[in-house]
This record gives sequence, structure tokens and C-alpha cells, in this order.
Amino acid sequence: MFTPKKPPDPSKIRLPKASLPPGIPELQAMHAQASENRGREVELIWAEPDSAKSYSMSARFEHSKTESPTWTLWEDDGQEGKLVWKFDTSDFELINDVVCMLKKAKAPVVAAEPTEPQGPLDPFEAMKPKPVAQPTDPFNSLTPSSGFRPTQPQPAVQQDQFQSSTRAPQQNPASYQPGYFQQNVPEKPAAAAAQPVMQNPYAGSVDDANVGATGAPMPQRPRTTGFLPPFAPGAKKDNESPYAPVEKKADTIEGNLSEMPVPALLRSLVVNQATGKLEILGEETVGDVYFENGVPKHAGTPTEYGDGAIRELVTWEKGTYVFTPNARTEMRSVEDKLEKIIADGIQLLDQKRHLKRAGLAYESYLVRLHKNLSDSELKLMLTKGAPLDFNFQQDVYQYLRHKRTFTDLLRDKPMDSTMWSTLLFNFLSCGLIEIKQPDAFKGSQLDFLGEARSQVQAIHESFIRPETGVYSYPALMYFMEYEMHRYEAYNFPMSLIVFEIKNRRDGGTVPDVLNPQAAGIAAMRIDLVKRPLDIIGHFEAVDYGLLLPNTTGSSAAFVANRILESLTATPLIKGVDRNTLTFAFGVASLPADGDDLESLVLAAKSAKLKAKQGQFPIVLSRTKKRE
Amino acid sequence: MSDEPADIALRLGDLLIRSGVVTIEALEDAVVLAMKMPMPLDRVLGMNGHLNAAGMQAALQLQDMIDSKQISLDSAVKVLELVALQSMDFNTALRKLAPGVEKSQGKLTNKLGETMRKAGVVNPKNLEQGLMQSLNTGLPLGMVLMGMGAITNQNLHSTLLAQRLVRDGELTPEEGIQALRFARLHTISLQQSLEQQRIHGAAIKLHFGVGELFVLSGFMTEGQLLSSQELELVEDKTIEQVLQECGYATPITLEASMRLLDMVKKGTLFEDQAANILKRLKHTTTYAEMNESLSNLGDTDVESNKIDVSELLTMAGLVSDEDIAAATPLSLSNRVSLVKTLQQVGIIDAHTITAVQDCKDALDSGIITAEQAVIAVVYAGENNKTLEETLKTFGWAPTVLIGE
Repeated sequence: MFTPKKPPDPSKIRLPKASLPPGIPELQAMHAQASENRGREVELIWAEPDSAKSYSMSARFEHSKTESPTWTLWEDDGQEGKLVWKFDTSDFELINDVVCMLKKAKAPVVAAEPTEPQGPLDPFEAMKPKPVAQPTDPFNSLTPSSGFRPTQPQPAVQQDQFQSSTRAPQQNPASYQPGYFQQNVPEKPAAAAAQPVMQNPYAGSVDDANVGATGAPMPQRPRTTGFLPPFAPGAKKDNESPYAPVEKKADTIEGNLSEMPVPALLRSLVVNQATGKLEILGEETVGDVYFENGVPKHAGTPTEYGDGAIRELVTWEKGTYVFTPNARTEMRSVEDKLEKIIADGIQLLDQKRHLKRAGLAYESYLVRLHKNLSDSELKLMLTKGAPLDFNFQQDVYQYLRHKRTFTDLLRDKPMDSTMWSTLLFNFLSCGLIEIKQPDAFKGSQLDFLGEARSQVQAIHESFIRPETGVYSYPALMYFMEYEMHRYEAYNFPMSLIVFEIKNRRDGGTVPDVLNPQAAGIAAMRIDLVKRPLDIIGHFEAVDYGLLLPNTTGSSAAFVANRILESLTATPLIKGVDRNTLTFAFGVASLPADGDDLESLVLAAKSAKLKAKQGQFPIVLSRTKKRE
Repeated sequence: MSDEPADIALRLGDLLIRSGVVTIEALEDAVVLAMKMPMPLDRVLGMNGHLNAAGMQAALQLQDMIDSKQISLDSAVKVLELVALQSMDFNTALRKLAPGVEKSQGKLTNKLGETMRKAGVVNPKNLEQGLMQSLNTGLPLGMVLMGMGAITNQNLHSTLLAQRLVRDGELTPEEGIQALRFARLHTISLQQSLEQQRIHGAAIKLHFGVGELFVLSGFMTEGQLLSSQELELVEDKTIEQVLQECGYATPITLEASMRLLDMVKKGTLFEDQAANILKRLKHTTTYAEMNESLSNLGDTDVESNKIDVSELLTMAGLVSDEDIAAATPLSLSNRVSLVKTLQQVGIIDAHTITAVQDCKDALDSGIITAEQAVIAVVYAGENNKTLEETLKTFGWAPTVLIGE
């Protein structure tokens, strides 16, 4: 009789059995297939050569809306199957690392030689956790008997990535212990000076040299200095960080993030039950994580600490790291589970990448796309974004009604990177803002004129007195007249500060004008304090005038106070300091001091005169009653 | 870069000549000789007594900094003068120009800047620009960053306090950074951060020292005090040294301050009384004169022209003479104060009256002058601020007395 064939499991898509472990392209294909068939498991099986072992890797999107599939890796030794790893991720490199490490995990087996020296020659030995009951599965040892217990099986990738080629004697695969940044154990006394180095789990070539194609041990070369994986100190080509390379101590371990991404690095420290300080030197700043027996205890970056710092560190893709064993801290700031923090960090990384692609830099302007958006409309538009407190988003959106840079935002509304990346990601992805390049990057606004721009420049230069580099008196008057039109047309207030700076030379009593060198530095300091749109120029013979458009008298007095502070904070030049300098600032404004330029100028001059005679060098003129 | 003497001379010529290290003729001769011998240009310049190896190295470093816009030509000239003509170390010369700024690993650095960077108070780009501006203007980095709008007054205040606590061993550097981060993210003071984080066992008490006394005496503003405190920390000097070097104090005013502070500590004087006495001693030129004044304190009130509230209102342009003339009979007939009458008839509001009254108190106790009072009243009115907030904004009262 015809027997109908057993129907395939509808919940599973089985890919053809492979003879080799999957690489990134295969993993990507599995991801794509699982994405197209949400709710179904895509499975790939491969066997280990010359062994009864086989592995099964599957990917499955649990729900229709999940962003990352659940990856599951099973190992079958011919007798029973064991779950090796299960994790929700879209990070193919991470999964690939796990697969690669299946091969690496055998290294202890082949490296183990009963003739190798016994005993704790490794200086880190004392720090190592004591051996736990020897599991049959090397991956079982990933869960330490005490301390940090990951909720999910840890990726095998970290298992021995810091181990050197020469290990403490191990009887069989089951005797594998999590290597705690093991040093080379010299085979001969002559090798005692060997430097501690890390083994790069991704750098297959050197490590694989010890393992034959069948997994059998290859003849081992004499080790005097230990092998140097690409990211070991001796192999490090250059320091990508702009910061000074950390002085290498004898017992530190270094590497590069391009070869060992932060998530893998953190997991490996957990697996190895490490105690010490991991310092990561990113492209711009430095962050650190303190571990105690594999448990992250305290973390910090310039912008965050604790869980937030680890989340941020996960987003660092370039840089180097240094692990200093046994460095401890009393501080405790990490609260959440590491895997959750890492998962959040990966999401953060996606948002940051999106913002970076949109051109976000500290100097970028965050420009609102909608000038008049009601609260309900804003709420509606933000529903598409990532979850974040609406009131906070509304507050920031209101703040952005003026032209603000990213630096302004961080200064006025301090927030950590988790917050700003989600916030700006929401604003950007919900079509609420656009990111504009700062003017400095664009060069002059008149660049479009091409050659003709030099003519404009020539006019500008003709306004300037070459010996001081500030506008001449006529030029200042010209700009004042122009500003007056704006005042009349739009009723914008305007202010004028007339001031004198003089210096008593050699203890003399009669003050004199500043010498050009001191005047040049004074001009630079004033330039730092005033806004770019404020115009400074000579006023009459030896005084200066500062025109402040759209500024009330009291705000102009504030600017005068800042100028006074900046000019006297430190000596301008040797011998020209607060003791020798005399100042007088007269501040006047429209409409507080009249309705025309003459009134403004006279009021400012009169106030300056009072300042010369008064107890305080700044006088605010108030010649007309406030309307 | 080519090492040919002519190329080096072409590259460094402006810098060498402007700094007075060498004349144009001497440089030309040196180039010719260096090519003829052949010898390195610095050797020839050294043989002629113009520039030694350290000077040449400094010149090359400075030219690189000019090219990468880390320093202006004027500032570079000054540094080279110090290195080449006064045999000063390169970093010491840089520090002469800008307090605390050094060049290390090819980058400009500063102790305060590093703390700020680690605590996320300032972003690396702003810090880089700030260091450059500091070098070119000679201003302390903190003031420059505030001027650039990169940090707030509170950021600077907290960072300086944290650094001081670390220096004095009250906090570890790590604790200092963490407390600063927390303070920044929650927009609170460092003390509040330390309390909330339970980092420091005992509450940090702000100290009323010589700098604070100088602020209260009107010798300097709070912003200038912050700059002086920054110099104290980055230059490893005492605050007294800094105040004297910057021209805020003389040995006599410093001595007087110490004695007055001692009296404040013992409870003999209040802070404002001490400040008023110090004001009187500002122009004292001999110790005998100072001793005489301090041994006979007498009236500690400020010697100022008493200004009444209505006068202050007029000076500030808040009421006109006509308003006063119209309100006075009303005030007399109703037997209420003139100010109250002005409020009742709607010429001034309650907020303005409070600000003016507070201002008068500050004026009477000598914390501010009449000129400052006018500015403060107008500023408080226009910006809807209290007098306390206004004084803090302008830095006219020490933080220790009005709160961080």
C-alpha cells in the first residue's frame, strides 16, 4: 500500500543540511526568510566534521511587529540535544561570532597537554574563579555558580576569547573553565617573561594554527612571547582614538573595537567572571565599566553613568579598549541585567546611525518644520515614534521654536544620549524637524557670488580701521542709521554702549589709550562676549561704541557687565591689568532714551560721563519714562 | 614637509621674523649657508646665536598649530619669543599665554577642560574651540566656554567646586565626575548632587573666603571670582596669589581681608559689615593706615548717599516727575506711602515694588551701588526676575550668600 509521506512541519522551514557552519551571507538569508515568514522558524543544520556532533541554528520572528528574530542554537552530540544559545538580535556579526566560537571552543581540548606545567603560574590565577562542577557542555559553564547569572544563555563567542594559546592543563572538553584573561603559561622557564596577551576569538589564523582540519592538535611551536592576535598589544597598528594612548601596564589587556565590538567584549567579561576595569577609548571620549566577578558594577561615560553608560558604550563602534584586572571601585551604578542593557544599546545605536546619516553634529541647527502645530497635532504625529514622555517632547519642541543648535539644546535641556537620540530620532522620523548644517560648514552666505564676493569683501574692509580691526566711527554711524530704520519700521528696541578703556602707564595718574597689542586682545575678548550681530566700532576720537540691535537697555547693561568682566579677568598683557585699567560704559537704548539717533547717542555719552565720575563703571541711562 | 632650509625658512619665516628671533637678512644668510655647508637650518641659526634646537622645534610646532588654527599668529609669536628669547619651556610659555593650557600628544589640553569633558559638561568640539580662544585671548577656559555659550554659569561653578573637593581629598576623581554628571543632567547644584547621590558623607559647606569678601565689597564680580578660582586650580596657586596677580588685591587689602574674615569667623562682624570696611580700605597704601582703620572699626555702615524708593523709581525711569507730583497729594490725603499710592493708581505693579524695595535694601547695606541698583531694577522688571536672580545673573553678589 502506498503510505503517504509525513507532511513537513508547517511551523518550520528547513534549509538544506550544510557541511560547513553558516557565514554572514547565510545568516542574512535566514533572517530574510524568517522575516518573510513571520511566526515560522527557519532552521539550518550542519554537522561537525569527524564528529557525531551536529548543530541546529534557527531564526524566528515571534510576532508580526518584532524587529529582531529569536535566534536559537542547539547542539546535538548524538545522544542528547542541548540549547547552546538563544537571543533576540539582528546583529549578524554577533551571531557569526557565536558560530565561529563553536569551533574555537574546542581549542582547550587540543591545547590541553598533560605534560604542561601544573599549578597557578598565571599571575591572574588568584583572581580566577574557582572551578565549578565540570559540565559536559563547555557552554554550560557560561553560567557562573555565583554572581551574575544571565537570564539567557550567554553567547559562546565570549567563552575563551581572552585566553592565550597555552592553557592550564585540561583533561577533556568538559574540564574547560572560563578563562579569565589567561596569560601564556610558559612551557619552559625561559619563557617566564612572556607578556600577557589576549587571544582574539575572531582572529582565526593564528589560533587555528594549533588545530588541524580535523580538530586534532597540531604540533605546538615553542612559545616565548606568546602569539599576538591582531588586536593584542604587540600587533596594534595605531591608536584610532584621538586621545593619548593609555600607558600600557604589564598586566593590562588591550584591543580594538573593530575586532571586538563592545557587546561581545562585555559578554566575554561576564563569561570570564572578570574583576577589573574595562576602559574604552572611543573616537571622542573615554568610558569605563568596572566588573566584579563578571558582574558589571559601575560604568561611566562623559555623558552618563550606570546602565545608561553601558548603553552608550554599546553604540561606540570605533576605538580601543584596555582591561586592567583587579582595578576596583566602591561605586555601584549598574542596576539592570546586562543583556537587556545591551539590547537597548543596540536600539540606541540604530537611532544614532539614523541621526548621523541625517547630518547631526554638535553645530547642526534643529529646525522645526511646522511653525504652528497644536498640541493634539504634535501628539498625533509623535504616535509613530519610539515611546517617550510626551510632555518632555512637547517641551523640547516648544524650545526649538527659536533657531537652536544641538549644542544649545544639550546646554539648556541637559539630557543623556539615550534621551536625546530617541527624542531627535522621533522628531526626525515623525517629520517634525529637519537637521540643517551650521553656517560655519557652509562658509560665507555670499559664496554663491563667486568672484564677485571679493568686491563685497573690499567694501567691508573699507569700513574697518586697520590698526584695530574694528569698524571706523563713520561705519558705526552708518550701521546705526540702518538699525534706526528697523526700529522705526518694526518697533524693535536698539541699544548703544559707548565706552572707553584707558590704561595708566608706569604708575602714572593720567590714563592713556590702550596700546595696539592690548587693544587687539581687548577686541578679541569683546568679540567673544558679544553676539555676532552686534556691531563694534570706534566712537568719536578714542572711545568705542557697541550697537546692539533688538536689545533693551538692561540687556545691553548685562553685555557691558560681561565685557567688563572679560577685560579684567586676567591681565590683557603684562602690566595692563585691572589695577592699571580704567573703564566707563554708558548704556542707552531706544525707546527708553528717546525716539531718534541723536537722543540715543547723547544719552549714551552722558551715561558714560556719569560712569567716569560714579562708583560703578557702568551707567544705564533712563532719560525717558517707560511707556 | 620638506626639510630643505629654504622650505623651512619659507614656512617659518613670518613667525621667526615677527617674533624677533631673526631678521629677514639674517634668515636669508642662514639659508644660503645651510645649503652651502650643507647643514640643518637650526644648526646654522644656533651657530649664529639666533635659535637653538628647542626654539626651532617650538617654531615648527607653532607653525603646525597656526596651520591647524589652534593658535593665532600673534599668540604664536608671543610663545616663540618666550621659548627662543627667554629659554622658556614650550608648555610653560603656552601657560603664560593662557592659564592651564598645555600641549600634550599633539593636542591642547587643560585640567579643567578634561574634567568637564569627562563629566559631559562640554562637548569635545566646543572644548577644542574654547582652548584655542583661551590661548588667543588669555582668558581662563571656563570664562571662554561661558562666553561661547557652551556651558552655563552653574556648570562652571559646579566643576570648580568638584575640582576643589578632589584636590582637597574630600572626593575621589571618580566621585567628582559622577556628581558632576548627575548635577548636569538634573540641572542641580553640585551640593545637591552629592547629597542625592549620597557620595559625600557630610554636607559640603560653601566657604566665605577672601574671594567672596572681594565680591561683596564690589572689588570683583562673581564671574571674575570664578575665573580666579579656575586659575587657582589649574595653576596650582593660592587664591590670594591669583587675586594679587590679576590686580584685584594688594598685599594690604589681602592682609585686611584675612583679619576681617577672622572677625567674621569669630562672629564679631557680619559678612556685609566686613565688606563695607574693606571698601573703605581699598585705596589704603600703608599698613599703618590699615591697622589704624581696623583697630577703630566704628560705624560699619556703608558711606553712601541714602536714596529713597521713589528716587530709585525715578532714576530707573519707572515713574516720571509728573507721576510723583500727581501721586504725592493723594498719598498725603490718604495717609498711605507714596509707593503704595503709585501702585494703587496703576503706575507701577507689585513685582516692581518688591524689586525696588529689595534693591534699596541691597543699596543701603552697601552690596550694590546706585548705578547697579538702577540696572538691577530695570533688568528685574524687564525680565520678570527677582533681585536675587538679577544679582546672580550679573554676578554682583557672592553665590555663597545667595545660593548656588
